[in-house]
Amino acid sequence: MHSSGQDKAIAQLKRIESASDTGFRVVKVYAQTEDSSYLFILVEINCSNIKSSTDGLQLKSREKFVLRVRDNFPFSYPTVYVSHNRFNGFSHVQWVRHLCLYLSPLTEWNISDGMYGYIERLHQWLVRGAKNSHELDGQPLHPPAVYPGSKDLPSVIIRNDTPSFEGPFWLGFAVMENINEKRVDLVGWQQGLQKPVSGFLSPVILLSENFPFEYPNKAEDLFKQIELLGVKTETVHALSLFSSLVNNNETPLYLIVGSPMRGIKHQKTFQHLSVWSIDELTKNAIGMEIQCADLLTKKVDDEFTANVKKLSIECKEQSMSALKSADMRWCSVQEDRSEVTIRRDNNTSANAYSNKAIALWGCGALGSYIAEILVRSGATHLILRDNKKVTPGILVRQNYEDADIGNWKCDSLKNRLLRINPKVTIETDNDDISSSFNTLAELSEDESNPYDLIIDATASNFVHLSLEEYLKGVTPNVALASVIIGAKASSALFSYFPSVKSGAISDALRKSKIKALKTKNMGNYAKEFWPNQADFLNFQPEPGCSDPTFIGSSIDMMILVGRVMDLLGKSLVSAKSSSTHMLSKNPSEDKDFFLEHSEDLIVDLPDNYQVRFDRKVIKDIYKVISKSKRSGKKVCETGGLLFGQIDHASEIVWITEIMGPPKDSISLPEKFVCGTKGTKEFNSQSSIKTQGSVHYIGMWHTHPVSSAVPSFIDMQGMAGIMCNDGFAAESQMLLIIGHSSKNPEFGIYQFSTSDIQSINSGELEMKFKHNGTIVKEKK
Amino acid sequence: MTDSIPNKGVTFWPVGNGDSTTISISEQVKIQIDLHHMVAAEDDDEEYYPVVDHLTEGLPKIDGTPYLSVFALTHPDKDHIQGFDKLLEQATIGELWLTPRIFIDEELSKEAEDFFNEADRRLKLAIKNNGQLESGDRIRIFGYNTILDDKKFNGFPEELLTLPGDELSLVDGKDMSGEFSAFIHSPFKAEEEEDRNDSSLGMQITLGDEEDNIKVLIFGDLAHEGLRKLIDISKANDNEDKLEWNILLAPHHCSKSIMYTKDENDNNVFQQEMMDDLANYCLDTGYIISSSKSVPSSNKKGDNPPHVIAKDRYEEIVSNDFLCTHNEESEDAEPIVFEKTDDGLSLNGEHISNTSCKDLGASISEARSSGTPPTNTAGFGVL
Repeated sequence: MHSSGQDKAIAQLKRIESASDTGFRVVKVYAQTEDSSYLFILVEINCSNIKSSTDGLQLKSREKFVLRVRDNFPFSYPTVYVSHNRFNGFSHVQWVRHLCLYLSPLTEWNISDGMYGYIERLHQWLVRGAKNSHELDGQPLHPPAVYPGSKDLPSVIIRNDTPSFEGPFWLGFAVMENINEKRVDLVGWQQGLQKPVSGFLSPVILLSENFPFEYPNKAEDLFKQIELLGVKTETVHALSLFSSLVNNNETPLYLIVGSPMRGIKHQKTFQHLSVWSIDELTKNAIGMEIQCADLLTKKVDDEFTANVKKLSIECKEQSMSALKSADMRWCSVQEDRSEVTIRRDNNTSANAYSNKAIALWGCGALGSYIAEILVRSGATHLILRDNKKVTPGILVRQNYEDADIGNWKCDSLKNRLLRINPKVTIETDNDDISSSFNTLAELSEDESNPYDLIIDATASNFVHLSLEEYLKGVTPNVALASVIIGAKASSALFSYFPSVKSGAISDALRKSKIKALKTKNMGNYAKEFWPNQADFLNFQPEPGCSDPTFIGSSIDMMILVGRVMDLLGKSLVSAKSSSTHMLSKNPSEDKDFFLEHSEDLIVDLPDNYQVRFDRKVIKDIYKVISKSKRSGKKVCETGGLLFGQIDHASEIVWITEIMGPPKDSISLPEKFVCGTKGTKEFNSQSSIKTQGSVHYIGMWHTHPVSSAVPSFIDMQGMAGIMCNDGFAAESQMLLIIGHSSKNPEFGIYQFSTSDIQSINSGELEMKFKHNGTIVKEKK
Repeated sequence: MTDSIPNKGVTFWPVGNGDSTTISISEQVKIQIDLHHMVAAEDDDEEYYPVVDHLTEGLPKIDGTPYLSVFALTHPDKDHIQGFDKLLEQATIGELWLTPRIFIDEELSKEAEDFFNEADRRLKLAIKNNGQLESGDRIRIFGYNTILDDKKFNGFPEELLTLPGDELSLVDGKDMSGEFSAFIHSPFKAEEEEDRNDSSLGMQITLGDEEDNIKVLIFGDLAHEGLRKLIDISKANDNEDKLEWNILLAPHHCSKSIMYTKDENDNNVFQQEMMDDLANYCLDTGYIISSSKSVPSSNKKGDNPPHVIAKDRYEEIVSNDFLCTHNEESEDAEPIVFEKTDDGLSLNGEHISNTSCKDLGASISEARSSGTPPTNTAGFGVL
């Protein structure tokens, strides 16, 4: 009885038949045997329109095909074979007569299209086959069928590219390692007659000519084939003998046969390897032969030697004949050779991490997943830095296991990563990194710095700011990325720096914060990363732990880490300048936000403070100067207020905004009296808007025709400001633009309250410490 | 209906499980290979086809008597020779082609005896006249030259003996080169107590010249072993082109014994290599003929041919079609007639065309499509 699916198949074929005139024919539906779930149908395709090239399939005007249709058609795809051997040896013909229509049936077989699509595909197959164009030049060859290996034999994993050779064949040995009962790794190749340092040997024959597509089932047939190509069975025997000699008795004996049936059409081809397990009987016969050879070295008497010689010849004959008559038992072969395998993540963002040496700071909720991505993506060298141990609570969302509890995170993670890929080099360090930047290999300024990238996943303000401070003096030869996660684990932020220098993580975070807080549609990001204290959901995962942390699941971690690593991979390839991405778990709710950071003008002060001018500040200053009043021929001085942030921890001053002269200011050629009208409001608004990141930090004014050195009046002015309300800021900045009318120079000075002295009758005097630097800056 | 016997072509007569094949070389020159004349039986169900009547009707006439240039017997089984006496009576048979088997066989049927008598007459005449024979007396033996050592053949002229590997264009004394040739494949030297079927005359007949021809393979009742040997010999002698065919008469009335052998448990063992070979020698236009009753949809163990599994295997490899001289659907048996015409080959009057045809892709799209809206109006209503 046909199943309804099989009836459907027949009906579809008949429809094609009637639509096609004489182009297609259902010759017969075979009678179905009761115990079979398969239905066989003989069809004919008129191929007279298909032109064959000389190297293509030579098609007759009509070709017949047997379709094999399972009862659950179309939910399983049909197979097709021919009843002749004329197609044997062509690509995509397996086992002499089975046509391989799909490279990947699961994706290529169109269930709903049924036989229509199938016959179309078969037709296309014939058209391509006739022109021998199944593989266009440069496309990968379809490797020969993977023959089902014997189930009780281990799989052989090919770990090492095959040796290249000239001439008809390469004879030698493979170095193999028993990993476990079910797996043997092929880890190397050698031609010398020496025992490998570890593992065991298997004889190898690599051929430079194609084997017939159908691999032989009998050893005899195999030897016949390879003799045709010039390799004597005696040689195989000799190789087996040597392998048995150096291997221990328990070790199985394999024979590895390769022929160049993989690769890219019309380009270099690569060996397709098959591994034949030599059965115990044959192995024992070879073993006997070795024992005889051993006995021959013992000198007892002539009779003994003669007997042993005779025995030895018999043994050789026996092992040769055993070798020839053995059934082929193929091991299943799993390729891990880079020369023949295309990574399944090819052309994805993960490729950016391939072959990279990466330092990972922090192995927690973010880092533990990031590390796994790096290893799976093909990073070759990792150093894991984390100073915490695995605790029970973190298993909810960090990439650790119960057995890891109590161990250093970095060590546990290392073990996990090595189980994924034993070839990766992994170092670990559980010291606190922020106190030892100058000893970290990845921060070396040397050209030989082996690291390509640092990923900071500490989410630690402490680390960020320490690094900011450290980088004032050095420019390590490495790229840097930093990832943090929002307070509710609904979004993530990462910054990427193609080269690490002044203006790193903290700098990027500060700029991002200002931008996010000021931009209307970024409210959710602003709340996530820079919540008002009232918004912050403080939560303590374990009694006694005071680190403020966040709530979020392993799902949140995987989504966000996945999104971050995807975008970071793309940035690694293409980004030329520092940037910050903010991205959400639900991109449909909150669009990704991308901010490219402009480079500040950086001025180092003598006391180690660093001043970073936003370029916009300089532009704004020039705008104000251009509007300076004139008094006759003389240009009047002008000026205003500086806004930004002074961080005394990292000793960095950010100048982010300016204000021009307040309305009540007085401008004269030699004097500028800065007013106060509107300044208070401006400051408080700015400070509220930026949650304190931009506020009043000092004053600026011009010296139209003199240098950018503070005058006595300037000093008195500053002293006056700083003591005006009785309680001044710890330090304030003074920016003087010297020669502002012609050839401007920037003099930037920092004054501290400790610089102010009271003299005589309570007059205040600023003791000039020469804590300033003058730089020329083009208009 | 078309002429049963064309000018140039092949006729397979519907004679049940038996062989009757007519090779037409020209209007005047016809060769009949085997004969299974079926007389009317009392039982109406029994098939009935008086092939001798049809044949003699279509043969050329010389002085009012139907003239058959050659009668060839592949092997002396009843189903290949029945009605010879009637044919001999009604027509002039210019030349007999046969294998030595008829002279050796000790258990001939009555029908074969009739043939034996005529062959024996001609054999003796040939020896007596040292090969100088007229049409009507001519004889040609196909086989192995050791028979000449046999007393019976003593003095038989060597030029009337054709050996396997020879090619023959002489038909009843006329050289038909360029229009006809027969390459002789078998019989080989007789094995002791060989089955009669295995001694069959096997040949490739070429109708036409080297450029434009049709090739017909006829192997009598050979089974796997014999055909295997025959093919291997041809391969070894670089004669594979002598195995090419446009028309293959399925040996032994479509018996499975050509591609299945028996193992020790009497199970069928499929011989893939045989079908691969037959497939490889099948030309672009190719037909397989089963000269037999219609092939049943299934067989029981021990059934005589035709065998459905043989049909299945043949259908898979044949370029065009597998045809049976009888089929269940048509009541009146008609011969299968191939005619070689100036522009190719016709089958029962229809020109055989291998040129196509609609593009298959377009056909599939058409088949796949769910149709287009009707181009005519359609009325609907309550009444």
